[in-house]
Amino acid sequence: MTLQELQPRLRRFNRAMIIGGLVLLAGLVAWLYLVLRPPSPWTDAEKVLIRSLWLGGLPPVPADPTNAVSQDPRAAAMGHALFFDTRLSANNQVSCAFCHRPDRRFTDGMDKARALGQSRRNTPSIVGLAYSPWLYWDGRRDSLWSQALSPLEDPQEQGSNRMRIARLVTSDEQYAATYASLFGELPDFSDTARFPADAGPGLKPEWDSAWQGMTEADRDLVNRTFANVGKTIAAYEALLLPGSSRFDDYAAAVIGESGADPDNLFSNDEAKGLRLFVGKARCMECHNGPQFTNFEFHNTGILSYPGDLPDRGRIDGIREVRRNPFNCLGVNSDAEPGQCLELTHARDGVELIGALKTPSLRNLDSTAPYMHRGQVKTLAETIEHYNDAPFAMIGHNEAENPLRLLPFERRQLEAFLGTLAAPIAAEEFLLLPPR
Amino acid sequence: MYKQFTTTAFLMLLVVTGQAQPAGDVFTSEKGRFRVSYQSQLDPIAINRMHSWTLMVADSGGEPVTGANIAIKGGMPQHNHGLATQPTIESSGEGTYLLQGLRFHMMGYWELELTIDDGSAKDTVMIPLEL
Repeated sequence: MTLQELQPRLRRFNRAMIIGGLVLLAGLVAWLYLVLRPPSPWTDAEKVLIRSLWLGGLPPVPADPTNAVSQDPRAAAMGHALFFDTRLSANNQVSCAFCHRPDRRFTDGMDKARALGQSRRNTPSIVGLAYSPWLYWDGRRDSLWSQALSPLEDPQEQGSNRMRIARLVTSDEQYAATYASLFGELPDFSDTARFPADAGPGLKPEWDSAWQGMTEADRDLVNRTFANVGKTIAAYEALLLPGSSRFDDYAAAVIGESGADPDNLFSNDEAKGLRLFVGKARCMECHNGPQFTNFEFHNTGILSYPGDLPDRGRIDGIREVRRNPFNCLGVNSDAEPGQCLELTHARDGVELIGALKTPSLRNLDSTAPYMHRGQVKTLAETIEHYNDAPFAMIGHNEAENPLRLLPFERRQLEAFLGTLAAPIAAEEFLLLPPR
Repeated sequence: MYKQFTTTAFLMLLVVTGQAQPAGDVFTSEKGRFRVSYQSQLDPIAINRMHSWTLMVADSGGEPVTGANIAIKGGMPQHNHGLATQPTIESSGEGTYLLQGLRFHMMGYWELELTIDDGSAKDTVMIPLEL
């Protein structure tokens, strides 16, 4: 081929290259514009949603009608001591704080909790739970105090029994004094013929038979003492509240509750992530209110833990809480039956199959891994889960429509979630074992 | 401009009051047999809070309907799910009823469906809510 023959081809090739280059450049500019352009101003409707998430809108902790000492500082001090007391376990090594570690926002960083044995589920945070009508991933308890009782007797957790714990708090000098001041008369468990060393229903066979051998009145007395232990722990836990985060500063600025310039408080990505959160990503359908949770139960098609059957979730939790003797309607509850609206009006139905409680999104920085069995290790994976919206293994995935977020949008959403991190709003001494 | 303003104001009102219809509005049942209005214990209605309503039920002539059986269903049609709770309704006076155990767990459009049976007629009334 001669040079003259080649020239037209070269010209065509050059032209194609130039056009192709221009198209690529235009695409790049469009992409950069999409990713880098500053967010447009908030609409009034968006501002209303942002206000609804702002921590400034969180009312004071409501008194728990089932727990007469829920806001008593003496109870909180006793509960604080009990929370860190390893004597509440079978091997004297496991306190509540063993899994609910204050330095990890009261979680343990593990997929499933490990104490005396391995639990079925991930350790949830306690921060802000005083507002939740239901406790546990499946809501199988309906008060902080009745929840606090169950790890004490769980063989995988603290593995003790109510008789041993009732005796501990009434024989320890400090606990006994506070107990008497809070609850009146101090029960006397010194008669070992009536009150064996170890007893509790449904526990080890020897503990169970010791329990069955006690009179009903004596069992009631032990149950009451045991319930009161939980009530003091609950009074402590109610002091553990979420702190104000960078998001809250930003929200206050956006809604005019502070004079700050919002643009100085959030990066473009964080602001765009917030826009996705209140809009296209549909997070607020469940993660709503100042704690970023509706404390309700939803099946979102989270895969089961490797080797585990799918978690039945709330469908089992509702049955268990209804028959739990320490529930709102039980003899040791301080509530009038008419105050137990959550329990008496709890729903049934197939929507509860595989449904688990919405967790708060505040403090995600130190509460990984995520989900009820720690199946999801990172926030990016979590966002991808909702982007993919897989079929649920049991029940029905409520979040069944894929979000179709683009990769840069997923990054923006994750950037926004990072702005929710904040220290716990509790006095420092409450996060340490009492002296 | 004015139209834009009124639209915005209306939308704001929707969100701020939390109700598509201001409380006190009267809802007529499908076959026209009953008229229902309500007063919420929480005003404006907020999400994630357990609360009660008082229902006022009258017949088509405006006479109070006392002691009827009222069944309730509800949910978010756009999300294909029901209520977070199982509310109950009991007669509480002349033409009034106590609706207990309501808690809305999402913002958005909700519908409550009341089926009223006073012995002589059975009819359903739908109450829409925008939270």
